[in-house]
Amino acid sequence: MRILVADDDAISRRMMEKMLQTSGYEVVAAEDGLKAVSQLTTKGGPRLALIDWMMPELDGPALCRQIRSRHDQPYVYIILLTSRESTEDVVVGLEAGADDYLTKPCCSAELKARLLTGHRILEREDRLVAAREEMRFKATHDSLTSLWDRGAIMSLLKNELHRAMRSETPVSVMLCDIDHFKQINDVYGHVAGDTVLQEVASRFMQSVRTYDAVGLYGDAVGRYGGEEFLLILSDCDAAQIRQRAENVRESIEKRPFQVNDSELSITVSIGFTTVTKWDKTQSIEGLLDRVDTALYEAKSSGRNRVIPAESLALV
Amino acid sequence: MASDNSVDMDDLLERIDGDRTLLAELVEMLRKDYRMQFQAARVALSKNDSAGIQRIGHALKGAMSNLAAPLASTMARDLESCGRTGDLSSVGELLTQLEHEMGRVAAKLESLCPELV
Repeated sequence: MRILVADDDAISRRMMEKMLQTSGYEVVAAEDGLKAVSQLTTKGGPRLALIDWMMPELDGPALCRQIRSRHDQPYVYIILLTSRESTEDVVVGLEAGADDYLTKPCCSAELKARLLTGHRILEREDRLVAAREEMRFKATHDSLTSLWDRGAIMSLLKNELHRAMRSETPVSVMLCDIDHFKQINDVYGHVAGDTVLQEVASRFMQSVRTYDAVGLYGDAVGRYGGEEFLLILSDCDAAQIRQRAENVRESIEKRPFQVNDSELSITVSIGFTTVTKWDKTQSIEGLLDRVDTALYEAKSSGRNRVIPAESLALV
Repeated sequence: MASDNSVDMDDLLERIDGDRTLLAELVEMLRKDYRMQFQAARVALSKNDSAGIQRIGHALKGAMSNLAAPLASTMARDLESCGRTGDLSSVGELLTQLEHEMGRVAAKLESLCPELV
């Protein structure tokens, strides 16, 4: 495990470093408080920290306060190092956010024991965060396909339209429906139908640019209804959307689906539109109605095709 | 000749797990880095910079405590205390004594690192 040692005295730092390396830690050293904060707030930075109370630029308690003021990063277990003769008030350090303190020079056995406490706290923290993330995922994702569920994809669409309105960038929307899905269920059974839904979801995900796992930016794919999927494409304008829709359609058609021992030819129909200007007088329901109409046209004109809805641009 | 009481060798060797290579490295750091610390302390004294004296005293105190050098550690603590209270009247004399004591500490440590002698 990585651990940060922050001390402006080179000898103290080196001795601590050696002691920790002997115990199997990967040590990151910092000679002042600002460098320590920089290390701790770097993505993937150390989660354990031994911080000297008095350091140039930023002292130990101030460092604790800075780290604790950030809520967007994994918890860092901080042990403050104080001097045995010091009048420094340990309470001040703990109130500033330190988890523990040690007097210098440190006894190796005591240091190891206290770091074990840190390990326990961090492991517990990680388990809680993992459980929370799992619950958050389940609350917003479809259990069969792991795509965003209807509520979440609608919420993302609303956010994306507002973001596009602020940044004056286009956003495109596709509504996709699996052709003859009822027949697949009727002929091959619902388990086969579920397999098709999962494979369609997987191919959709591969054909878009979901470079943000939480969907804050980038494209998003959601299960809109039974066999209907809603795709939101950020920064995708009217000139690009037809080709993008064709790519999505082809991703399904180009390779047969392996279901049980059979190979099924699956296709999708797609209605799409690009919003170049959005304002509060427009409704998301109206937008989706238009895309749904385009999807209906794609179905009624033979399926396995993409049809644009009328543009919603006001100018 | 190094004084026998400048470093508690049992304490130090226990702390560094008997690692003489590390000890040699620490002695080299002591020789190189602390000359600069004393220069910085004298500059701070000339500027009446009590915060600077406190910071240097604190750093030296930490180093001397870690090296199990009780007298040098006490002197560094006094230096830090002068900086904290702002009474720098005895700092000049204290620096001279501390520098001398740290020289003894370095000599004592070097005696355990024959490759450095």
